[in-house]
Amino acid sequence: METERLIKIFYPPRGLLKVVSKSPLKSELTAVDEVSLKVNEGEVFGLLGPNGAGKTTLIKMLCTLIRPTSGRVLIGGVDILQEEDKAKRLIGLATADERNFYWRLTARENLEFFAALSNVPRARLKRAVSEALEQVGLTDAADNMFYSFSSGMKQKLGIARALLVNPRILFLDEPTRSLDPITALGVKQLIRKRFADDQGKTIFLSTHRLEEAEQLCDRIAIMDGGRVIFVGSVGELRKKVTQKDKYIVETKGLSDKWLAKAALRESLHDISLSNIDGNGSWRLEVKTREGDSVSKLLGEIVAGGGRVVSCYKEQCRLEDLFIDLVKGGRSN
Amino acid sequence: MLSKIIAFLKRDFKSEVSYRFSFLMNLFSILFSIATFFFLSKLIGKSVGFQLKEYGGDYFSFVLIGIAFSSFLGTGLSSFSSTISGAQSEGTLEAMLITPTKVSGIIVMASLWDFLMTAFDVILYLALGSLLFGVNLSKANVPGALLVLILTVTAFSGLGIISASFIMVLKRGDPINWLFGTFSSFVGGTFFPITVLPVWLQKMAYLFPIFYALRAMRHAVLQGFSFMALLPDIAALALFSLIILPISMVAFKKAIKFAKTDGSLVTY
Repeated sequence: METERLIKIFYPPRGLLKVVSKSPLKSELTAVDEVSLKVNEGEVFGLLGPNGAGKTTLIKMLCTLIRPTSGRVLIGGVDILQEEDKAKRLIGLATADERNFYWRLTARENLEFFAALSNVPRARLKRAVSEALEQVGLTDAADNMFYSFSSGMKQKLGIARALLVNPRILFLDEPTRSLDPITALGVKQLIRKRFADDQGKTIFLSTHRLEEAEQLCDRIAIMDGGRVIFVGSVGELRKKVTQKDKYIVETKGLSDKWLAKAALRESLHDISLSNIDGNGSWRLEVKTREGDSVSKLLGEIVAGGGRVVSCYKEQCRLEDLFIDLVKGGRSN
Repeated sequence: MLSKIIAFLKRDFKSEVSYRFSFLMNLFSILFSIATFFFLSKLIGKSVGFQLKEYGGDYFSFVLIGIAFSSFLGTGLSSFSSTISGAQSEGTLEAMLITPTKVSGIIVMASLWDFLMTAFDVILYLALGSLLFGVNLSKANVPGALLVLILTVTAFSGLGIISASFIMVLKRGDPINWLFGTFSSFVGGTFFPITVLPVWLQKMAYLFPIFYALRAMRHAVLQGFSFMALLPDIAALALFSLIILPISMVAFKKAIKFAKTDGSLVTY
């Protein structure tokens, strides 16, 4: 799948529409701004970004539900704007919306309905439905009403529906949203092991969970303000953003004079100071490229009459990388 | 195509039978509606006979055909838009739109069940009216009535698709449904012959297909008019269909394009 300079601008209503309809838009909004991405065959690709970054708009454009303002999308070599129907045969979409099934039909009846709409031939419709249910582990619940399903089962049924046409690319919009950790783990194993590793499907998923992206995705893209600000593996993201190591030093018995000096340094350097218990225990977070400067700091603490209780290097969390990257992108 | 039609009908049938009480309530609603007009016609008696001469002179028969078939017109007018808004609020529209089935196909097929149910209601109206309240249907020109019905449904479905186009863009409140649903049933002669209206309102009735549809239907069902005698109304309905259907197709295509560009295809 490939996108070329994909742009989506939403405009506020004009003319008569402005009078008869209410829109939250007061001025034009560029939701997706010149996004060019290439997702390789068989790759699990993650789309991340803060709320309002443009992820959902991008996925909906890729699934033909929203028309781009300009740019091009190719899925399996098919231009989705030129050959929408052909493109739809190559894609499957599962969203986190729990309402998008018929509540008073069984899981099997629901899938049979959507399979018919997806042009699955009548001769193999029942088999396709059974296979999809089996793939997500819902065979035993196939004849239960949809309204009796738990959130995890609904999520799995959404994935089963996306599998009915044996899609070349599977779009998963926040596949583990509102799932408990055990169910989420099951869904993640399904995506990574079964669909990606065993079946070699191309998977394009959006998520807010960076740890999830790290577990599932070969590569990720991070969006902010409609633009893609990073594309690469999580390892590459770490290298790009982590330029300084973080050391945590816990101390006791530091004098007020020393602390005042440290506070001054806090404003000048990458040191943050916090009182742990109000009884003279302090925690210092030091971000530095050189381990030597930490040794120097420890020496200063001891010379200042303080005691080092502990000192350790903390690996930067993925969330911190994400925040750093987004903040960095915005300040630029 | 056939398997898709069956899938939609199966979906709606399964859903409908899961609400059995609603089916029973509908049956009683029809029965009480017929009974109300039956006793109203007794009150009115023969005093309105001269106004209804061309329909056989009986108010109960006149109004029975009016309410039975105007429900069909109402379905043609509103089922497409209600299909869209229903699927939008249920959350199933997005799942349907991701399939290779065209949006126009989806709304037409999703409305079939409504038409079937309305046909069932019309049969109930006529059967109850005939069996319990003595309406004489022995002279009915059934093939003529069916032709009138098909043309009427076609014309009203065109209006219904224009109405759905408004819903696609505005989400709620379309002028077509109001104009052709509420106003045209008033001037079109559902409950009374248009001859009782002021002349200027009578002239307006000629602008709405419901007038021709109900007049032809009453003539065919109550008086057994021949094809030739029904021809002026049939021609008028065919003309309405020829004008409205292409307009509705263009309007719907534009509405879909607007909603896809606006990003509001599945919002409500």
